[in-house]
Amino acid sequence: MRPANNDQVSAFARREFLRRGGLVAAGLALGPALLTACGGPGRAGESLTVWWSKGYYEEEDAAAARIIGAWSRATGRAVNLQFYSTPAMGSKLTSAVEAGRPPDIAYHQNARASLFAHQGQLADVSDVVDTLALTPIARSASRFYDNQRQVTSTFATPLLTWTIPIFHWKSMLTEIGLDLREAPRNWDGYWEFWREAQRRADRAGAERPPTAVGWSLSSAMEDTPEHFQYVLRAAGTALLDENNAIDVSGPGVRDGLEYTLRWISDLYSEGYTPRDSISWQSGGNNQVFLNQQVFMTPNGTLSIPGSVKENDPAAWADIGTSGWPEAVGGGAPTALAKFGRIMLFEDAGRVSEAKDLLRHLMDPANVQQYLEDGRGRWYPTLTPLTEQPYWTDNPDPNVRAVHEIFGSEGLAPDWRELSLAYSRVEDLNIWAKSLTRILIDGQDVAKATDDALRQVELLGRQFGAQA
Amino acid sequence: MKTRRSALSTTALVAVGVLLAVWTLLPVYHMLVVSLSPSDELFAGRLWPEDPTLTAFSTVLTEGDFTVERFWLQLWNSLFVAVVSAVGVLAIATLAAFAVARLRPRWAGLLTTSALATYVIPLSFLAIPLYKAMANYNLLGSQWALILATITFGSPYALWVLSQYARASIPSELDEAATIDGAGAWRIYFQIFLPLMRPPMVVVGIYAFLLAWNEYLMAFLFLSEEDSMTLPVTLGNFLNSDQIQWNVMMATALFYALPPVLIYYAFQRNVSSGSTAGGVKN
Repeated sequence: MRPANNDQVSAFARREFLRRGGLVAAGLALGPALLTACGGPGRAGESLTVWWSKGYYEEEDAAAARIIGAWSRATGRAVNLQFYSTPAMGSKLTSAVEAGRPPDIAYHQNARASLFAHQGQLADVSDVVDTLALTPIARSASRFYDNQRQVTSTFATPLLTWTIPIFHWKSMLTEIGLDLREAPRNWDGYWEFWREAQRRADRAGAERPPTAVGWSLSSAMEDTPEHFQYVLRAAGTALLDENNAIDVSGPGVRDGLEYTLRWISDLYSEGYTPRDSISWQSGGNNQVFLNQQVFMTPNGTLSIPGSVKENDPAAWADIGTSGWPEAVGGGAPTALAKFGRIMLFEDAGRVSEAKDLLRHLMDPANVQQYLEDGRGRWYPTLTPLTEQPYWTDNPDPNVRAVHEIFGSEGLAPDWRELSLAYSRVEDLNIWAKSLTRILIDGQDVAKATDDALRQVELLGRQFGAQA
Repeated sequence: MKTRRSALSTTALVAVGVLLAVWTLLPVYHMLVVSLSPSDELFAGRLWPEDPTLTAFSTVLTEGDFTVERFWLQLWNSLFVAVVSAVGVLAIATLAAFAVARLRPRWAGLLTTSALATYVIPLSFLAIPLYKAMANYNLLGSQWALILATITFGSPYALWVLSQYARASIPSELDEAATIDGAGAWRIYFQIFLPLMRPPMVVVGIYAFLLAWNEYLMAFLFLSEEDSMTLPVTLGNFLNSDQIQWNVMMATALFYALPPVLIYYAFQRNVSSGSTAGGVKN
């Protein structure tokens, strides 16, 4: 127990301390408000805000800055251009949209357009896009359903596109007496060709014999649902109806899904893809391919040959790029198209100016410049550009191979590009989780198919019609 | 018999220690191996690269690649944010701990407990509300947004540790003696409280420093310009494509890991005594 006089002194000291502490706290609390009143460094005043997916090459970003800078100088309008990494930009856009502070323009290489259009966040850009000579497939990937306005319209502008070719090492096949040009084009024969390559390499007694295929099964990789969808579509599965809504009741959907789960899990359990392909992190298939641990791998864009082109020309020349085999029951090979889109946000409040910049960005000369500075990793969405010698007669055989794929009969937009519900299927990793349950937990394929189908159907019901 | 038992016990402890050391150092070793590997030897599965090279380290130090073209500036940004956050957390937490533990207001227990409730909701859930708050204060794009958010998340734990230590380890007679000698609360705070709180303050300071130093999500959300970004965001940018320069990324990460390690060893003595702060309550 403290003496009474001390209590009095302590009470005084406490009052003094709390009073002064309160003043400091009030000062701290007022700080942000004062910053707000002073304008603060946060929002870039009158300038147009543009968020841009960071390129793989420095020149890509420089090209975007140059093109946007030219518009800024011509119009006298300031632009606040920021580059963000593609995987992380989705979260940044979501936060900004939720906070009511979206950028005026965002260029993103991931299918967020369907979500933002569904939420009524995107400006209708029909008046700009209708004047563009887009390829039919790109035009189909520009239309989305706006659930707020209950309307389907053009809410995004595809700046570029890419596909998922198959890359292989020519010399590795030559060493074991094989050549991809002699491989069967039918589904079973084609994959048996790669299995045979692995068996021959095994028999040759190499210290670390390569595996046939670098097939991604990991839930940490974007490649997994892409690879999965190729098999699903090759098996004749039509998961979306004519309105891009999920429809699991269609003929063959269940069979197609079961075939896909069984085909991929067999590939893994029979050892024709690396054991760790079920736990790869980002770029896992690129790494095993470049280390020649696999004969081939499917991979989006031309990033694989692009990564060795300058430093290792011999390796670059040894990489072959080709399309997928025919569908399971015969017919045109599947070729999926994915898109990098420009979106204009209504809430930013400067749609008219943003549309003017959009027109400038989609000028064929500017698009071509941007794509060339991306060293041909991407492919144009404007028809006149696809006929340019840069794509038709490019000295790079990989670029020519991609041009050929884009001219193929089986080319179709990735379902993720069209349907919000399907993009949720991929975001929730339903395919990768089903494969894990089969391969790790030992679940029966038929049971895994039914479980996956139930979840997909539920998501389809949740989002309803998309278009 | 007793000596034999003691030797066995020591051997078991050493074995556990070695196991823990290997477990802890394996990722760092892996980072080192990858950073020393030439691009064509990454993930070759070797325990040590056949042809080790310092190219990746030199690329980082000379900002020789566009992925690390602002390495030094962003390292400085990280340091600035971390130091200011640590100072902010220490200022708030020591003042609050002093009020709670020494002035003993009626609501002291409630204050400490409710502050800890901040941790009930994961940071990722709060990212969007915080983004909105920073937008309202016009702080988006400013490093102060990141500093204020880090202080918000660092202070409750710091307050709890410091107030427990203050209650348990600093006799109230010291305050009473000082009060009789005419010292006010601020004088007691600066001249008695703070010097005696040094060990837990070092621990809390390092905790707050690391919290800000390693922060990625808020840094990415709140900061816009590359010139104001912190290094974790740049490390995240390496994953922009599926074609990742792992060796340069690992070299950058190793450089980034150095300052916390140096700080830890500089204050090692305080850390070992301060980390038990609040463990015993009188």
